[in-house]
Amino acid sequence: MSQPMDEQPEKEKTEPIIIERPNTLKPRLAAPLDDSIVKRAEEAVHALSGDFRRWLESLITELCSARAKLGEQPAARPTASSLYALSLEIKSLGEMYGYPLITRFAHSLCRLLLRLPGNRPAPMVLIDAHLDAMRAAIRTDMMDAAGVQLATELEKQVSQLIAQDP
Amino acid sequence: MLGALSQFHVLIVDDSAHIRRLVIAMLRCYGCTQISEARTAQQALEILNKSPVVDIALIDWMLAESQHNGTDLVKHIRRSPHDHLIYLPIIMMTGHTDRENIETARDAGITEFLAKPFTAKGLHTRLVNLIEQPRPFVRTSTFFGPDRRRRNTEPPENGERRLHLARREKSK
Repeated sequence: MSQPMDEQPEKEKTEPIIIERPNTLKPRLAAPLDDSIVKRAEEAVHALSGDFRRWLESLITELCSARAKLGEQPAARPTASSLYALSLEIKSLGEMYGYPLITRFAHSLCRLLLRLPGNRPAPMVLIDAHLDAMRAAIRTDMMDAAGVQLATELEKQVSQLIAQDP
Repeated sequence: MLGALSQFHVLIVDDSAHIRRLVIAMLRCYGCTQISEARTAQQALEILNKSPVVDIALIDWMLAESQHNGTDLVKHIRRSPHDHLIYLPIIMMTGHTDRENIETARDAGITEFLAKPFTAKGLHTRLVNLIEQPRPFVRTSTFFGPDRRRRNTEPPENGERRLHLARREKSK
């Protein structure tokens, strides 16, 4: 990279301008980009679904290993930790893979790792509760009312912690 | 029969092989055959700086093995001296969906925002927006990137038109 990415742009003294450019992409469409092709894409994603459970399981295993490496010491910088990165990836993939509850558990864990005021460390017991929930969900295809109740309870506990003064 | 995006070169920048695989599956159904993949900002820049020119980039917020995240990469692209880069349509894919993060991505110069988890329909909608209703760009003293306020203006038939905001306001 010839220029550092964090370098600030040179300030200009010009007034704001709007630049309207000719549309160079639309003329290159070889066929209409209409809704009919969405169904084909959904089917293609569905065709991969045989692998989804295995992929998600391996990510959850990785997440548990990342947690084990921490011992009882929470990550100092959650955004940079593998725990957070894996939680975010599981959050993204859970619902796409047909495991919406796992996305809920992972989203709640992301909030716990990132949103506590005053840089307070996340309680390990609550991190572990999220991991246990994810493991149970992938192992048992948990989709039922008990799973929803568990997700709601974890979300509530995280919200209460976030709401506490630092 | 050629697919809709058969003439497009799309770059996917995401450290998750799973996400890249899903996006590729979707893009292929939209007719796209020229697809490049990168895990890091550095890999992405190497692809962006060589032929064939990338037409659309899908960039994740968090990238692997790099001190630079997706928004840093977007800022770098928008400061490029090359037209094909500074005006590159960029879809930011991310699970960081808080308002603060969306604003950060917007201020970096993204064209569209695609929250994870996303669907084939969600990706399709963003692509339609980019291709059929491209946003004009705006340059201010502190920002250069797509104008994310939608306007009902027709694009110019040829050439490039630059309008001073003050002048536009006067002409109302």
